[in-house]
Order: sequence, then structure tokens, then C-alpha cells
Amino acid sequence: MKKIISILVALLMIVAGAVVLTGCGTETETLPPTIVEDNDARAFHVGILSGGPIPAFALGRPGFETRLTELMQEAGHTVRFTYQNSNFDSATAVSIATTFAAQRVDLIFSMGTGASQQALPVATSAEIPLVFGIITDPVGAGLVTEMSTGSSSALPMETQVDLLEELLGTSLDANNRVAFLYTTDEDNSAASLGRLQAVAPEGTIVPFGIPANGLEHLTQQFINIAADSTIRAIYIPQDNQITEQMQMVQNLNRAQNPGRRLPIVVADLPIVEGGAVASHSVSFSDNGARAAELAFEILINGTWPQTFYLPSADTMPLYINLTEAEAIDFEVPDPLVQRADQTF
Amino acid sequence: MIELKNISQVFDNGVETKQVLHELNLTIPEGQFVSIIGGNGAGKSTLFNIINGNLRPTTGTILFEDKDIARKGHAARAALIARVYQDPNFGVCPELTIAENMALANSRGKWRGLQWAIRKKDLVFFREKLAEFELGLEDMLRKKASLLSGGQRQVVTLLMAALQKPKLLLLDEHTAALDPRIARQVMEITKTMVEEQNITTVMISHNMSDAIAYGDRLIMLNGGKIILDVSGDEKCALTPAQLFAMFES
Amino acid sequence: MTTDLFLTSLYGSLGQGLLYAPVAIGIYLSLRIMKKPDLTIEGTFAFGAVLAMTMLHHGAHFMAALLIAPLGGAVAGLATAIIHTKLKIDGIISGLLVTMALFSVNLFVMDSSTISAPLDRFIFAPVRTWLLGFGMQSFNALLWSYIIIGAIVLTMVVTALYLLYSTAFGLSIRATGDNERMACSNGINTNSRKLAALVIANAITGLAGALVAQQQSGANVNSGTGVLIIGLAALVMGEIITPKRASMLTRFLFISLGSIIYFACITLVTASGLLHANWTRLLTAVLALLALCVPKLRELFAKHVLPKLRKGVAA
Repeated sequence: MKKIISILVALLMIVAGAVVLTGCGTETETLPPTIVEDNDARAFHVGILSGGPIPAFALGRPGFETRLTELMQEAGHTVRFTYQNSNFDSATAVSIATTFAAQRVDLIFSMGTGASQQALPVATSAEIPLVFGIITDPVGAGLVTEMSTGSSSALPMETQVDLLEELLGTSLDANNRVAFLYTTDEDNSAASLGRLQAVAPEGTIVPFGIPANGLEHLTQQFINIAADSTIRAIYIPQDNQITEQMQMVQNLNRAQNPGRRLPIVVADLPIVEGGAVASHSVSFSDNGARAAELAFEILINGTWPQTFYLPSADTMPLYINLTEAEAIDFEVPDPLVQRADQTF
Repeated sequence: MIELKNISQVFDNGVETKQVLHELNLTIPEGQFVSIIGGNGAGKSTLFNIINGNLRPTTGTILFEDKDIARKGHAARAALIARVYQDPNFGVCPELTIAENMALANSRGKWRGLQWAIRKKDLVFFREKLAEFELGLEDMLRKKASLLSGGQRQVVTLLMAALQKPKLLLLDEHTAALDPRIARQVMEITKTMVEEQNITTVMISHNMSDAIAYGDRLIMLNGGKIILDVSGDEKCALTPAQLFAMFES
Repeated sequence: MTTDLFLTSLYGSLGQGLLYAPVAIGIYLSLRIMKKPDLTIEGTFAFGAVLAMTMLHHGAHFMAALLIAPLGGAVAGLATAIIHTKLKIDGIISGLLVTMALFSVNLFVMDSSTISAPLDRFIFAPVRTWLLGFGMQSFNALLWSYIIIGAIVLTMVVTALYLLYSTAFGLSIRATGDNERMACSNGINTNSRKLAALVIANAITGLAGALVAQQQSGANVNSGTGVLIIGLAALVMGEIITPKRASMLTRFLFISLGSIIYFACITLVTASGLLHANWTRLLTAVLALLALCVPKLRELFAKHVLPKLRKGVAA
């Protein structure tokens, strides 16, 4: 497999190289000579591969680009970016990574587990460092290697239990339980469930799963959640299927009978506004910025970071949606509101 | 009425070519009942396929009422030409009721738009037509055609073919798949129907005595050529034994 | 399970069943009437959902959205039909090709991978408000709005199809599917009938997509995935309870009933917590398989078991 990819890379390099060479010929003529004053100044080219068109990646990209540009300018260098989106298609991800290799980019920044996994063999065979971002479990995904590192967006789950307990004004126990709403066959969601259950009191996190492409089961799960009076809140992990359809979740929750409209806590900051009450989670643009710092280290100082980046509670913003809280007759405790980095 | 001029048919499967019809000329005047006999591969079915538009001849022209119909496809020619096949399964839609099958035939050559497929008066008409056969079919109008026996199917198909009087009726060994008693009955029904309505008919038959007994003219095909074309007294004088002898020669 | 939970779950599955019934009917029209499986269904369902939701997103009235969605479905069906009849590509491949193409078309229409619109623009909103006016419980009002809209749209679809298939034109479509050679020799242009059948089936599916998207408060590129097997399961469940000599109208009604029964089965299993959600697709497949086996089982029973029983009685 690796051999095939190497051959492909070589072939593409020849084709793309020819294109780039002819392209460069015209470009150098138009370049203003003032730029090449400092002999040490270098122009870097970074390829950005996004797993798909989702809000997390859309936020991670500017975070990365802004921070890296900033750092490069401080050091007297320039950097340009080529952005590509694989639409969650593995074949597309491989071909994008191959094109990057053919263009001889200095570094590849990839967002999303699948896209990063598909880009890694290409990057390794082309000897291009790969920096990933917004990945829940980089070690488990085999992404921490000699040629790749980056920033993880794995949530410290204790923070989620803390938020739930503070929001409900009680500790989680047999009478105060939380519904965990997720897609059973999304790996990230299932992993989050296990990690949350591990840190929460036993039996207090109750899974309510729907299959992939199974939105027709969501209504039933809300009926089930409403029927269990020990359930006091709903938690939604980073789950693409459900967060993409947040309005359905909001609609079903708001339509519940009085007393059964539950506060929803989400692991995705951007979707708080779409129908959740609170989120204390990783900022994706910050996650991108951390990846940019790692990229800078690798490109300028030539040092390979010892570990990858992991977020901690104090770097995570707290979002509170007071409009949604009002709509479901839920009172958010004052200290939380005051501490919030952003309220809606 | 129908005039075939210099019709040749060559099948070419890329490996070998096979000429099935050799410059065949045939004219059938209006109202005539022609029987065609011939061995396997004589070109009888190919001839029918060319007439009803299933097949485009390699060379030659077909004039129908002095008009060239070469450009008309199978479905378009169906308004003029009706064909009854040997296999009873070809003639009816098994999943549809007998009434629905007859309604399909009844609007042959007409615009099939958003009018009701079956109106009350159609049902009465179908019932009358079926009752003429005295086979009890008139009480089965609402039954699916798949419930009919082979003979019943051929009778219904025959009736359907003549429901809107066709300019030309092609009978393609339509009794060959039936048992002898039923076959005789169907032949009798065919004869009555064709004579009453004076339909121009061409019938392929395997049965020599049928070919002699029915129709006004007898044609024998062999190797894609007409080797015998008789009518009137000359035809009535023929015996099956004579015909067999010709086959062997 | 409490009676309350049971009843609410039942209302839920009734609504879902009615909203998905047109898909099952669409599959019936292609699979049973034309005797050809049509894989465009998944693409068309998503296309209808995306078209309707994009229109609602930009402020269109739900009636306009419900009009355009079936038109979009019809165009998709037309594309499949042209590829199938004119270019002589196998029907299954044609459907796959169009479904594949629709994925990109959907992305283009939405201009993103997912889209939603304000809830008060959806067809269910006025019905729900009306029901709440009678003092109906909040959540029941939501579920009943699905049931009422589902029933109204289904009635319209079934009536329109029944009328259409009772015309000379409709009869010629049925004949084409049943015995193409016979249809042809009766002067029916069979290609145009195949085209019409695909257009009709996909128009209905597009309409269902538009309704379900509003029930799900949004649409995305994956909206159609899995719809084909749901529709198929609903169809075969309906077929086993359909009386043998049923008219077209009765068939449509029993297929709709099959859709409701299918969703009730799935709901009861998931609501009672008997099965992990990962297994629901397998359950769907098993239900469909069982339903498909019923005629064979019946036959075996009549051939082997029944005579023995009779003998036993006689002895």
C-alpha cells in the first residue's frame, strides 16, 4: 500500500512539478524585489486539509492561519496557505494530500481524524511534517508518530460533570441523572460516552443512542427521555449527526410537556446558540492556534515537540444561552452566568 | 393492401452471416386469408417480425396501402397490424384483469390519455364479445388473466386482436401450444371471426391440414424463398401428403 | 413500560409511518408495477428534503416548498429514465449514477452540507398551534401535527395515484411493467411509459423528503441514506397483510398500513430498551426478510403441513 502511494506521489510530483515550474517562471517576474532584502527571510507554504464542511473545522482553520502568520511575521518570514476540503471522503483526502506533496508544501495541517489518517502515509513517504488539529484521540488513531503531531480537542471529562452539577445545583446521583444523546456508530461519540461514564458517579449517565442516518429515531428517544423522571438534563457530545440537526433537538425539547423541558449541555461551543443551554468546551480556533505554535516550532526551530497538545479546563471558554434557558423555563445559576465568556 | 418488395434479411453476429430471406416479393390484397407453411428456419417468423416492425429488413420496402411504413416502429404499426403469438403468455398481462387486458386492446391506435381506462359501456361490450365464444369467459371479467388456461388465453388474445378491427392480422402458430381439441376449437373461432369481420389475415401454421382447410391462399416458404403460392381450387385439391413431399424435396 | 409511554410512542410511530408511507408507495410503483428496482429513491428523497428546506430557509411558504420538492423529484426520475431508456444503461446503474450526481447538486443547492429554517415556517406549525388551542398536551400536539399532516398528504397522494392508474394512460403503464411485449404489440410506446413511471415514483418520494425534512427541522446531504430499506421494509410488511385479490386503492392503503406497522415495531423494540440502537438496521433487515419469506412459508405450510393435518383429522 505504502509503495503504491509512493509511486502515486512521485507521478503526481512530476506532473505538478512541471505545472509549478512554468507557473513560477511568470510569478518571479512580478515579484517586487523589496521582499528579498533580508537574506534569512523565508517563504513557507502550508497545505491545510479539512475533513469536511463542519463548524469545528471552519473555526480551526482561521485560528491556525492567523496564529501562524503572526508568528512568522514576528520572526521575519512569510507564509501562504493552500486550503482543501475532503468532504469526509477518504479517496478525496488521499488525493488532496498527494497534491500537497507534489506542490512540495513545507507542512500539512489536517483537521479531523479520518482526513489526518489518510494524509499521514502520504506525508510520511514525502517526508513532509504533518500537524493535526481538532482530534479527540490522536494516540488511539495512530497519529502521534515521528512525522506527525498536533493539538487534540479531547475534553477533560471532569469539566463536563462539574458543569452539569453546577447547572442543576445538585450532584449527580440516582435521582439526578443525565441523558447522553448520541449516534451509536460514531466513534468519537461512543468514546466520549465511555470517558464521561468513567468520571461521573456510576449509573448517572444514561445513553440514548440512534443509529447513523437514523434521525427518524430521535423523536422516540425524546419520548423515552421525557418518560424517565430521574433524568434532569441532556448531554450531547461532539456528534456530527445530532449537532447538524440541532434544530430538531431544540424543537423536540421545547415541545415537551412543562416540567420535562430539560437543559441541554453540548460539547460543541458553536452549537450552544442553536438550542443548548450551556457548554464548557474546547475553543476550536484556540485549538487551531495551538497547532500553529507546534507548526512554527517544527518549521523554524527544526525541533520536534515532545508531546502533542491537550486542552485543560482553564483554556476552555464557557458559553451560556439565556434565551434558550428562558424558553424552557430553566434558571441558570448566577455564578455560571457571571463566569461565562459569552452569553446569548 | 400490403406489398413486400425485394425483402432480404441478413443476420450478422460478427462471426458469421446468415441470410434468412432472399429478395422476397409478396402482395396480399384486402380481405384475403393467407396460410404460410415452411420448415424451421424457413423465415416465417422473420417475415412477421419485418411486417409488424419488430425488425428492420436489410434491404427492400414494405408498402401498406401504398404507403411506405419502413419508418414506423413496432408500437406505431400496432394501430394497423395485430399479431397473436404462439406462446399464450405473450398475449395478455397476467397481473391485470381480463377487462383491463381488453381495455388495453380496445384503445389500440387511440390516444391513451387521462380518460377512464374502463367505462361501464366498455364492460357491457366486453361481456357481449366474450359471451359469443360460449366458454363462460364473460363471467371472468374481473379475474386476473393469470388464472386463464392456455387455450382461454389464446381465445382472449384473438378477441383482443380483433376488438379494434386491424387492417392486418398476423397469427403466428397461435394454436401450436394448445392441446389438439382446444386447438381445433380456437381455429374454428378464428375462422368465424376472420370471415365475419372480413379481416385481412396471414397465418403461420405447422399443421398441414389446417393450412389447406383454412384460408383462401397457401404459401410455402423454404430457405427464405417462396416455393409454392396457390389459391382457389388448386389449393383445395392439395393433400397433406403432397405438401410433405415438397418439404422433403 | 408505562401505558403513557406506550401510547405516546404509538402516536410517534403513527406519525412517522404516515410521513414515510409515500416512499413505500413510490417503491411499490417501481419495484412491483414496473418490476424494476429504482435506486434513485435515496437521492430523490434527499433532493426533495434539501429543495424544500432551502426554499423555507430563504423565506418561501411551505406550500411552495411542497410543490417544488416533487417537481425536483420528478426531474431526478426523468434523468434516471432517460439514462435507462435512451442510453440503454441498466436501471440499477442509472439510479446509482443519478443518486451520486444528486449528492453534489444537493451541496450546490444548500451551499453547505446542512440547512435548516425557522420552525414557524414548517407545515406542522399551524396544525400544532391549532391543536394547542384545544388544550392538547404540548408534546402530543407535536406528534398529532405529524399524524394529521401525514394523513392529509397521504390521502391526497393515494387518491391522485389511484385516479391516475385508473386512466387509460395509467393502465398502459401497468401493462408495460407487467408484459412489455404485449404492451408494445398493443401500440403502447413502452419507453415513454417507463419514463412516466419513474417520474411519478420519484415525484412522490421527493414530496415525502420535503415532509420528513420539516419533521426533522432540517436537511443535509445524508438525508436520504437508509430510506430505501425503510421503504422496502414498510412495503413488504404491507404486502403480507394485503388481501390476495385487492384493487390498486386497497393495495395503496395496506402499504401505508405496513409503513405504520413497521415504525411501530421499531419503536416498541427501541422504546422498551430491548435492543441497542446499533442493531435497529439489522432489525429492519430481518423484518423485511421475514415479510419477504411469508409467501414462501405459506406455500410450504399449504403443501406439507396442511395435508398431514387433514390426514390426521380424517384418521
